[in-house]
This record gives sequence, structure tokens and C-alpha cells, in this order.
Amino acid sequence: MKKRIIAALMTAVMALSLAACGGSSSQSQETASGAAEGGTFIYGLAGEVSDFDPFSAAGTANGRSITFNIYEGLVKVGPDGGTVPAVASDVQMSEDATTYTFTLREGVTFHNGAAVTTDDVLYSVKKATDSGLPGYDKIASCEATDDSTIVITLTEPDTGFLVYLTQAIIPNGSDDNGELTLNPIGTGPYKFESYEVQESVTLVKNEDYWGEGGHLDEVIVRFLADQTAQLTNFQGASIDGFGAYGGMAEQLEEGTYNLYDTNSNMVQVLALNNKVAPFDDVRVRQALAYAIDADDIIETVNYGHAVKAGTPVPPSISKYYNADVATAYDKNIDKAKELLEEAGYKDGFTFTVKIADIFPVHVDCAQLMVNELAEIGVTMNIEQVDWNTWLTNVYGGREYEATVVSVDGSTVSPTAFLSRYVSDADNNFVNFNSPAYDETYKAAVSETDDEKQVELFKEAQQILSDECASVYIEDIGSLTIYSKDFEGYVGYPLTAMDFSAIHKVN
Amino acid sequence: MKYFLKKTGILVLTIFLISLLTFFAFHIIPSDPARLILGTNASEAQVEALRVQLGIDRPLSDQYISWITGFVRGDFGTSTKYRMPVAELLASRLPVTLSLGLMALVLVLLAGIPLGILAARRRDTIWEQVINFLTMLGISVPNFFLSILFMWVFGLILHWFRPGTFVSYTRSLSGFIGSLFFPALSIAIPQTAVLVKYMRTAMLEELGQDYVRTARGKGASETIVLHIHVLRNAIVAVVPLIGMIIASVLSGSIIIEQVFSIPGIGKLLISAVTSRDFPLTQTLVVYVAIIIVLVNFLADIAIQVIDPRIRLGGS
Repeated sequence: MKKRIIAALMTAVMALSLAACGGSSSQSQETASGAAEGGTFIYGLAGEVSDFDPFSAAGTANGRSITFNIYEGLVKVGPDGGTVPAVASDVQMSEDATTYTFTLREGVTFHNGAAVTTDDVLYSVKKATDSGLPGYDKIASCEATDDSTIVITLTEPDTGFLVYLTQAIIPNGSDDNGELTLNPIGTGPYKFESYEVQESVTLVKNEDYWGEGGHLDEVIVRFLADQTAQLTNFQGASIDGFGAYGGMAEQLEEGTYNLYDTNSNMVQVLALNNKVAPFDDVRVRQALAYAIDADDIIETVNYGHAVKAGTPVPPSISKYYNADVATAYDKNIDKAKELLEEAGYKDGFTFTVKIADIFPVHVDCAQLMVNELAEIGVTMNIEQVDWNTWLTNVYGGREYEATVVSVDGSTVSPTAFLSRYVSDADNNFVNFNSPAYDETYKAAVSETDDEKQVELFKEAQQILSDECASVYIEDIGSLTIYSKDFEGYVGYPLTAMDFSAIHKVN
Repeated sequence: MKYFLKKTGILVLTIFLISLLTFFAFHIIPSDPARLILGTNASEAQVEALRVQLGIDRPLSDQYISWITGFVRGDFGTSTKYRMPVAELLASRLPVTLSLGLMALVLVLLAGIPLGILAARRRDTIWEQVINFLTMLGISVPNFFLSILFMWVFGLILHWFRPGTFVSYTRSLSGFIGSLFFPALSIAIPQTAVLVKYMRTAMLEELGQDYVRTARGKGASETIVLHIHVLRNAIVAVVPLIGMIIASVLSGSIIIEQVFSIPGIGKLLISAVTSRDFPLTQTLVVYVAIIIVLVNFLADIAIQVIDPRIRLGGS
């Protein structure tokens, strides 16, 4: 009997020690004309989406890829990163940037057939506020002044507030107990049809869409284990398209696919824990930045499919991106050594970088960094951890020396990428602490003059660069690959997959 | 009767210990399902709101107690990742994994027993060498490697099946069997090799016994001696091994389901563990444990049926 208990126990232990994978996909531009209508498109996602909650699914890149097509806000993100009217047909901001007035678009219906009313909007805004979504804590009041007008008043001026209203508008009372999590209802160009756990989600065309709408009758998103699975499924014609990072296309036979080369809209960073020695010394952080050659990483690991960054704001958000800092730390071994010597680490030091194993691209990049850092006598050890351990210990608990990750933003606003560097921000996982930064960031957020605001956001990035909060490397290129039967792609400066842009080729 | 009571008692205790072990494992590994669902963009307030919604703001010990009291009543709780009743998830997955395991087991028995007999019969010939070589190879090659090999050769080169597509039994039974064949084969091959090796050894051991000499002395042909006298006794020695093989087949399916992307218990379990889904992991682990303990229990009974000299509960 003892043997049997042990056998059963071993099964349990083995089950517990196994780990699986997930991932993310992303994009940016181009459309083709001469669309054929109809057809089914099967998209292969590396990872899975397990809920379609309008307010939490949007928090992850994979979830957003799907819900982007189902839900719409009063406004939505346009291809250029600005907001365009959606459920609201018109938006007016008051002079002092504290009051926003929305006019509901006529003829917008939910996927359940009901017309969108002001009650639905009030309910949705309340749900978003209760869910703790960013930006919503600034709302002082939200009310309907007549049948088609909504007025939102803020507690403080914010010219960039509209990006937060890209959150879903859902039917009044539809999600009191999280019902939409597994049965989403929105106003988007595609509506939810069915979901099979760990397998796929099926969307069908919303024939009553208020706008131009999609071309495909049906979109099936299949959940795959990893990028290898994406590749084999594509080669075996089990999927029609997938998103990948640079280098993947090299493994496909030329001329058998349509490729859209885009940005991931997040910046890969060698994050250094500013509270842990020796990274509490700005000179050490700078030395690392000088030793790491972003151009080399882009060429070697990403086959050139990446854009050098230098700041946490992705270069694709061109309005706010501070291009001056991209080259601030171009490779300079002598300078790096000098800084290390000044800081008292003439003979270098050893540290560990913890990387989530679901991102092979970060591990690949880190391997190159190991060689680059060796040139200045610094030894970097790579430790791969599972995604949950990373989120809990590294990101949440801040128990780490260094990590490599690409941090995405939930909205296209610069605040999505810069707010975490405010010294008391709860997601300031690098423990950056600069009173000058805090002041500049605060001034930027409340500035009502657009031009001045842009300047302040750029200045904030300059401070991050000067203080070398971390080593900002690149916006890793993302590829979207279709079979020859499909064309059409619209990219957005945030991780989303717009299915209404895809059409069949005759 | 006493035997069954004792056996059932041990079964319940085993299951309880396993569930306790899973609970302790969850204590050790870093775990925050809410953070995992929301990713890096969520504010603390958002994470906290979701924790309350999922009921994971309570201490893990509370969660364990409510899970186990529910389990006894047949309520397995709600998955934190999939937000649906665990029972519902289990019901859709169990038939898939059991079919896969059964198919693999049939393949193991169909190939393993005849090959084992063949190896014993053709001892000291080139056949034995060939079978020995193949069993060594079969034991050494990991099942996940075999699956990748099959996927490449039969899926991508020969196009006998489409890698990554799974046909549910509700849609087409032949399609279902078709999509499970290569996964079952990858699980079966290493286990078959083990069975052949054991079978051969058991047969050879029996061949040295006195009763074989007597049978031969009576003038029985070698075929009769092998297939009637020796096989029966050799099987008794192999049945406990079959219990172990079933356990390996089940654990093998956990990995193979992932490789072939088959929506069974294994794939669900891996996801449950990586997403720190406490009710789902607990239920799945306990279910797999129950199956294994039951299989071994059945193996005990089978031995007794084959060889009545072995008394249940005697040892």
C-alpha cells in the first residue's frame, strides 16, 4: 500500500511542478482595398483568454486582442493613437478641462438588439469606477442631462481624460454579478458567439453595426501553447494568421504568407531595482546602460525588427515620445568602466536577472547582455521564473535585482507608461525615486495647454534618462502573418487586433 | 468485507493527504490569481476588487476548508481562472483524458503481451536481439519527444493529420479517435517497452519452474506449455505492473495533451497550476489520485481472479 500512496503522491507532485506557457501579440499599420466579403478567419493566439470581462480582460494584451472587437467605449482609439468618437458621436471638453460633454450616437445597438441609452452609459461608468480602473477615480460626477447627453465632471483638470473613456459601454444591469465575463455583450463590429475553454473563442459579424463594420462572417481565435505551436499550426494550415516577434518569419517558406511588420508598442527594459545595491547608485545604472548596445540586440536577436527606445514611452506614440534620449547611452565601454570605478566597483560585481520564462525573446536578449556586461567586468546570471512567480515576487513584491520585461500600457496615453515612475506609485516596481520627476509628472498631468503638456511629458522622460531609472532598450517589432488567402491590417499604438480590417482575397 | 472497509479507509486517507499536500504546495509557491488575471496594468485597487470578487481575499486555509467541505457534498467550487463551476470543466474534460488513456492502454496491451511472449519464445535467436534493442530504445525515448517526432513526420510531412486540431467526440467519433491516435501512440510506446521487458522476464522465470518440466514430461507441445501454462502464471506477475502502467499513462497524458493541444484533464491541470487556481487544481489532483488508487485496487482484485491462491487482504 505504501507504494501506491507514493505513486499517487508522485502524480500530485509532478502535476504541481509542471508549468505551461502564455504570451502576447501586438501590432501597427496598413490596409488594402478590393475586399472580398464573407469567410472565416482562424487566428492563432499564443496563450489563452479565459474571460471577456469588459473591465478586466482588457488588462492583458491577449484579452484586449479579442475584446477590442466586441466592446466599444464612448470613444475609441484610432490608428494614429488619438481618440475617435464611437458610442458617442460628439465630445466637447470645457476650457478648463474639467467637464466633458458627450452626445450619444443615434442608432447604436448592443449585440442583444437593445438600443444604447444614457442609463447604459451611467451604469458602465459606475462599473468601471467600482472596478478600480485607472482614471475613473478622477470623476466627480457623471450624469445624463437629457436622453442623449452625458456630462462627466472631473475633480481636477485633465486634458488627456478621453483615453480612459475607451472602456466598454455595456447594457444597464447586465454585469451585476459578472455575467458578461463568459457572455460578453458590447456594441463592436464583432459579437461573441461561443467559447470553448482552452480551445477557442468564436466571433461573428455584427450585421447591425453602426459603422462600416467587418468583412469576415466569422473569426475564430484559437488558443495555442506557444510560438512553436503557432508556427506548426500555420504550416499545417490549421490557422490563417498569427502574431509573432521578429525572427519567426525566417522559419517560414518565402512567398507563402502575407507579412505585416509593426511595433509591439511597449518598451523592453532591463529594469534595475533602484533600492537594491549596487543599483541604488545612479553611476552603476548608467554604467550598465553604456555597456549595453541596443543596436546590437536589435540586429542579433530581432533581425532588425525593432526600434531603439531610450525611454519607457514607445516611439510609436510620437507626439509624446522624447526622441533625444534614444541615443543618450550609446555604447561606450570606457565611460562605463570609469563610472563603475567612481562608484567603487572597479572590479565589477555579480547580479541576477529574473526573467519570466513565457517570454523567450527576453531570455534571448539577456543572453546577449551577459556578454556585453562581461566587457566591463560585470557578471549577470540569468534566472528564469514562471509568470506567476514573476508577477508576485518581482513585479508585485519587488524582490529582485534586475529583470527584463516589456511593459505595455492599457491606454495610449503617456501616463500609462510614465505614471509608474512616480515615487509612491503602487506599480513603481523599479523603486524609482526622484522628487524632480514627481513634480514634473504631476505638472504634466494637470497642464491644460496641449503644447506645454507635451513638453512636460518629454521633460519627465529626460529625467528618467538622466537618472537612468533603468536601461530602456527597444520596442520589439511585432509581426502579423496571414496566409495568402487573407489581407488587411490596421494597427494601433496599443496591443489590439482589429478583425474588421481583415478580408478574404478572391 | 473487512478488506473492503480497510481498503476504502486507506483510499479516503490517501486522498485527504494528497489534498493537504496540494494545499501546502500552494502555500509555498508564490500565488496571486487576481494579479495574474489582470496583468501588469492593473492598479492595486483593481486587483483588490477582483480578489474580493473571486473570494481569494480570504486566507488560503479558509479556502481549503470551504473547498473540502464542498467536495464532500459534491460541490467542487468555482474556478478562479475560468469563472465557471469546476464540475462543469471536469465533466467536459474527463471523457477526453479517459479515452486517451484507454486507447494508450489498449495499444500497450495489444503490442506488449504478444511481443513479450515472442521474445520469450524466440530466446537465443536474432528476434530476441531485435526486440531487446527496440525495448531499450522504447524505454529511453521520452514520450514528448515521440510526439514531436510524430507531429513532424505524420503531420507536417505526410499530412496524415493536422497538428493542433482536435475533433470533439460530440462532433465525430471517428474524428475523435483519429485525433487521439498519435497522442495515444506516443504515450503507449515507452510503456509497451516496459511491459515487453517485464513480460519476457516473467515468462523466462516461469519456464524454469518445476511444473513446466512436468508439462513437458507429459508430452505437451512447446506452444501449449508457453500459452497455457506459463502465460497464465506470467500474467499474474505482470498485473501489478499494469496498475503502474495505467498511472504512467495518465501522467504521460498530462504532458502529451499539452504537446498535441488536446483539451483533457492534463492540459487543464497545467493551466490550473500556472494560474494558481486553487479549487480547480485541488479537484483535478484529487480526481487523478482517486483514479490511480482505484486502478491499483482493481489490479489487486484481478490478480485474485486469475490466481485464487492469492487471498485478498492476506498480506
